Amino acid sequence: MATPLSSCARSARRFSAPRSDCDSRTSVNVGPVRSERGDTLIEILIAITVIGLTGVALLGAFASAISASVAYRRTATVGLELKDFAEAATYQIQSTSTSPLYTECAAVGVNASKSQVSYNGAPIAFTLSAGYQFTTATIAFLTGTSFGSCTAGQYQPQMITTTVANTTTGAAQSLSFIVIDPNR
Amino acid sequence: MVALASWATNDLNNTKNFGSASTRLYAAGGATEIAIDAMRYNYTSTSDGPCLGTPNPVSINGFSVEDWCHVTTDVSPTATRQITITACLMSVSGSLQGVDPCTVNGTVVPTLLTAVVDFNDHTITENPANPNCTETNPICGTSMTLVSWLVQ
Repeated sequence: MATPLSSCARSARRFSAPRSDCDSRTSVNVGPVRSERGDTLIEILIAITVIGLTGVALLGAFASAISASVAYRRTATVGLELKDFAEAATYQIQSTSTSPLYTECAAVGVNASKSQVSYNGAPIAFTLSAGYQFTTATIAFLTGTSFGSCTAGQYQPQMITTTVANTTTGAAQSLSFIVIDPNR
Repeated sequence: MVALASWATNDLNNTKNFGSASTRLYAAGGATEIAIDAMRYNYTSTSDGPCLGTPNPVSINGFSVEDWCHVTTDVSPTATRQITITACLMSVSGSLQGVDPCTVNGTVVPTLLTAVVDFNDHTITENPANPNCTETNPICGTSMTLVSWLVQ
């Protein structure tokens, strides 16, 4: 019949290190020995610092992602306003299905309330969304290899550049588009 | 930390690229409109090369774009010329050498837009077999049909 192992014997099989309380003189069972030395203050501070830096980095990345998302939205919105305007202006200046506004050596400008762009004195029918305004509108004429001033009778393609800004955030974007003489 | 920095940088680059995409498209479209207008009224028998009568390259919205014209003549009774116009982004300095793909001094540059346009150079009273538009009598572009407008 097998003899049951003593507590010290079982401990000796489970732990490679001998239990200090297991020797030939005593068999008091006080459990496995663990170091009672705790973490030092320095170790804890280092751990807190590492965790803190990681947290700050994560927050920074999240903040950057959120900022980029806001920038996407603003860019997209201002860009859409500009594209809508460019399409409307191109149609009104060039389309032969209506009376095209196209005029040789035309001038462009923004009205006092910054809500409308005029082409050769005639307003281009387009309404910006609330919170946006035109800040500039310029025109240049293709002369040789670059855009410059107008020369009468040259059928110069015209480059119209407009800038739209968000009245709250100030986010602004410019777009140039080309119109040509539809009656040539 | 490197991954996080890369993430943030990628976001910022996306913002910049998103903003420039639409303005680049308008640059390509504008340059191609100029090329179509110039080619309509200027006859050329050159089958491949930079489009005549246009500034090459032309700078719009900060992008330098050059148009390449491939001309086919006598396409049909109502289309005496069919011109394929390819707008290339001149992202490196030099001369445009060819398209498919756009190549500048041996370097491939982005193709922005390809447009195909038919021109009818006959006058109303003219014999269709004998168009009025030639190199010596460049009265061209009686009518124009935009066949395709492919943004790359």
